[in-house]
Amino acid sequence: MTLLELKEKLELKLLTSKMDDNRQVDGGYASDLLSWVMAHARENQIWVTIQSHQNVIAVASLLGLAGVIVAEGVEVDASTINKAEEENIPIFATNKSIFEICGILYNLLLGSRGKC
Amino acid sequence: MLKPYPADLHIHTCLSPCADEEMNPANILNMAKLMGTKIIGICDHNSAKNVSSVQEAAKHYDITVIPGMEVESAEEAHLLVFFEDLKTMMKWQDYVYGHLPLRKNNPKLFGKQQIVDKDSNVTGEEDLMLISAISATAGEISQKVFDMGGMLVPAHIDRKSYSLLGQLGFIPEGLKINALEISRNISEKEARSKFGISDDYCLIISSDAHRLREMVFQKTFLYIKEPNFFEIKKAFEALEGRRVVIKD
Repeated sequence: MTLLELKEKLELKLLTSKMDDNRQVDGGYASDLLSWVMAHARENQIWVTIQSHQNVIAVASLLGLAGVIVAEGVEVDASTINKAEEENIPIFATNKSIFEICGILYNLLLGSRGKC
Repeated sequence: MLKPYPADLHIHTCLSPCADEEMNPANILNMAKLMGTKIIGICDHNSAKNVSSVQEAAKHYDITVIPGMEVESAEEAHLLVFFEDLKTMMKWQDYVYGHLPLRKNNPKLFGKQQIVDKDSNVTGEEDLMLISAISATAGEISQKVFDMGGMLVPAHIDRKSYSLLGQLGFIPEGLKINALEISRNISEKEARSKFGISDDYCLIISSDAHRLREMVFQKTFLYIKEPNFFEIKKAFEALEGRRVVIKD
């Protein structure tokens, strides 16, 4: 799935000024512990969290994540958005809960693969 | 005779990746002198490698440096720990380094981790990524610090990121705490009512300075006999008349 499809299907609000619409998203990861994410998330995944500290962007950039979804209507600090612009990490906002976002995302990413 | 000592127990040096390079011993001590601060705590993230340099440099100042560290628990809560002397602090550092993930710092993303000497020359960089949780929980950390004779002060509990209350929502029962730190953004009264903190807990306000200009908030005064670790501990526990006064 591309970032553009992801944004539209999950009805996300893009907080950064731009994103690479065609960037591929290979999977998702959900956790609010940055150190845990650093140890377990994989490249090209989209990260769902309620953390909004600017270190979120540093971790996303370090791992080569496709982007970050800040869920549950959590407000994202300007410093975090600035860092996201610098690092070219798209950051999305949604009022949906982490559970809802992950449920939809799981079906979108894995449901479409079909059974063989 | 008890005297009020202006104290700022949470100051970062250039070893902390998120701190400015200007945070070297000379600058920190001169700023403290300018502010009239008599006791400072050097608390870098998960490391104490610059404590000795600041202590050495402080010999030329009327300022006491308490060895400290801002350790990040497995729950990603920031906890300040203090020890009586450098030797114990370095033992504690061994414990922390033994519980840090073996990941290298990426200075471009997180910032440089500079080690300096007493004359503020940069002598090296810490390779290990210090911005990370260690694998010990807040409970384990508190027990270990207690056993080693140190003090534990959960940092900036009013902040939503990296604080004990932000991460857990409560102060775990049985945690051995000497005081609680609130940030300069909130008053003692507000913090006590907002977070339901009883008078049993001593509160302090520190600057958590990552930049020199952040050191201009001098709000905590320790009424103690002499500026040392044990007197501070007594002030936190309100023993023998020793006490902490916050001036907003």
